[in-house]
Amino acid sequence: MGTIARNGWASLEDIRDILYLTDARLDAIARDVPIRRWCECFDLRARTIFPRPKKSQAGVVGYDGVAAADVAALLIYLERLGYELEPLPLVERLMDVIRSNPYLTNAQLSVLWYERCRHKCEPLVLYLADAARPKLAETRRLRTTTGYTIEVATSADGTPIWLSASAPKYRKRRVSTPETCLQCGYVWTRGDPDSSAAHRREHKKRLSYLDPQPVVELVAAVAAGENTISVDRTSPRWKHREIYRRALAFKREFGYDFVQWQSDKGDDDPGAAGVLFCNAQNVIVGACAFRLREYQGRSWRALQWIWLAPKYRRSGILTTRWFDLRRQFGDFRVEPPVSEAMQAFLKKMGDESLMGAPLSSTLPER
Amino acid sequence: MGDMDPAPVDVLNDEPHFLSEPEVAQALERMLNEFQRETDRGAVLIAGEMVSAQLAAEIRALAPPELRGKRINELLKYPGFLSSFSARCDVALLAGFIDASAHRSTVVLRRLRNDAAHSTDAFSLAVHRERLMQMCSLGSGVAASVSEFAAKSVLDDVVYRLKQRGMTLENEIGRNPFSSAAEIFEHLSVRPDLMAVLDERMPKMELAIGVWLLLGLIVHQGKRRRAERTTGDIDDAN
Ligand SMILES: CC(C)(COP(=O)(O)OP(=O)(O)OC[C@H]1O[C@@H](n2cnc3c(N)ncnc32)[C@H](O)[C@@H]1OP(=O)(O)O)[C@@H](O)C(=O)NCCC(=O)NCCS
Ligand SMILES: [Zn+2]
Repeated sequence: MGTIARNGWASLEDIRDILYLTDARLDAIARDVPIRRWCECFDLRARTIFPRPKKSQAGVVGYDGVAAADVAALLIYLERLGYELEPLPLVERLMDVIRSNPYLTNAQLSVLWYERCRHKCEPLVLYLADAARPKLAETRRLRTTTGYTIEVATSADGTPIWLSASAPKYRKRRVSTPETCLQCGYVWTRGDPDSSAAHRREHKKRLSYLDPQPVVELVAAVAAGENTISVDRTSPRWKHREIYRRALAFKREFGYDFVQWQSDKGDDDPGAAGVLFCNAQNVIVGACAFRLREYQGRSWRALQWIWLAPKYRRSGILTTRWFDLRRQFGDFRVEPPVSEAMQAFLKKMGDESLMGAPLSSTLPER
Repeated sequence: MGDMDPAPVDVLNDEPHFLSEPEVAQALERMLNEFQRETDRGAVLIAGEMVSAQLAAEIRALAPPELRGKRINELLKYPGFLSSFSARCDVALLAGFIDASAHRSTVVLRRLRNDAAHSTDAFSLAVHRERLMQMCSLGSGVAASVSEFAAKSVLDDVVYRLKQRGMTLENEIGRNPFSSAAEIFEHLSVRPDLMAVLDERMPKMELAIGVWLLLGLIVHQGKRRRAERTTGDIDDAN
């Protein structure tokens, strides 16, 4: 085992030896069924490998080999079928490498989860290909020395049709129902630690714009007398982070395909002009973005999107900011599609004309 | 310029009394308040106006009896002979109300003011930093002290605000990231954007402090002149 782990490969002969040394039944079958075929059953592959040539050597002779993790996976599968063998020594030797790999094969995953899942895995089912399947006549149950329950279905002449092997500690998992968080809208599965961890992460992120709190960087910027409103490509990172979150919220709320701010690190469009809506408590309650549009030699400012946190809507925030926006960006165009709330807003301000096409009616839609 | 330098005066440390004159102290407060809201251009115009007004006040106070009252007011009011900043400045030197160094500093400020008043596009004090420092050269090493003091004031202001805000922040976000000056400096040190903003605030702060010193000096020299007179002449103040 040590040699296999060290070399990273095992020859087909090595595998036979392992089987010979472990379960007598396996050794018996191995005489009839070639190891290569075993591997194929579990979607593992033998490949031609070559010993490293010496400096002076011009050619090398290769032979069939199986990757160490695949060997371990084979042992794991055989154990799951109820055979008596010990994959652990090989598994343990492979763990260091597998733990540090960013990507894993199926076999490596089996190794990674081996200790956690040992004897608890879902039942393994093997069956004949459909075409060759004879009529089912009998099913039998038996228990192996390792505590596995084996069920075999056979035809009248005793040909096995399918075989299932259930682990001794396997418990059928509760059917978990998806749950929607009322606060952040994230859909997650109760009882699944991964899903609930993902929710916790996402919850925090989403609440940062749904229920925004004072932003430390903003507090410091206000104290230093920095312009805390506009965001452009020269702005510090935190402003891009904050405006990006709002652009993301806008995308989510309306189910659009793209986030209309380049990234949470910046936006290098020189015509991009973001605006943060901050209140006296240094809370960022919303944001919007203008872009410079050009078409056939004309250019104009366009309000690309605007988004306020739900709990701050309809409290006159945009109304109080509207005058400044109009003064700064002029007769900008509110780009379609315009939400009902925004249509109502423009109507109230008497600015419905901003929804029309700018300058000329031949301008393309977004 | 070196040969004309007056005897070294440590204006910032040695003579606190002349800066604590009520009108001088008030002037600083006014500048700190107003400069914050003003553009660089506005700040320079205000500064020029304040010094010019102070010179007018000294001239009025030190005018001989023959010119007192209506006559001096006429002279100081447009289009009177002493209505311009430059005339007040030169006459004050001529009459010995201010010394050469205060005069030189005033001339620099006046030129700066003219440039600001006549600039068509954005006027930036940072561009005129050298002249600003000349204006502050009211003694050897004074300009450097003004700079240092300005930097400290700008920073102190931020630290003070963040300390105040930090306490309420604790309730809002569950922690106070600005509970000590060290924490505040640490936050600032990783924020090049804020350091840039603080740097931008420097010239106006230097202007405020420089003008504060200049006003202090003008008031101080005027007082001394009056004191010399009262010991020589009959006290005819009314
Ligand atoms: C649209 C939006 C930016 C408006 O900002 P706001 O600060 O909530 O608007 P105000 O409180 O200043 O509203 C002023 C007026 O606009 C009208 N209005 C705003 N939202 C409205 C809504 N949802 N339904 C009907 N009228 C609305 C009302 O006449 C309102 O005056 P009233 O409250 O006295 O009746 C904000 O609600 C928002 O972010 N919505 C979600 C995102 C969105 O729709 N973006 C626009 C995409 S084009
Ligand atoms: Zn949630």
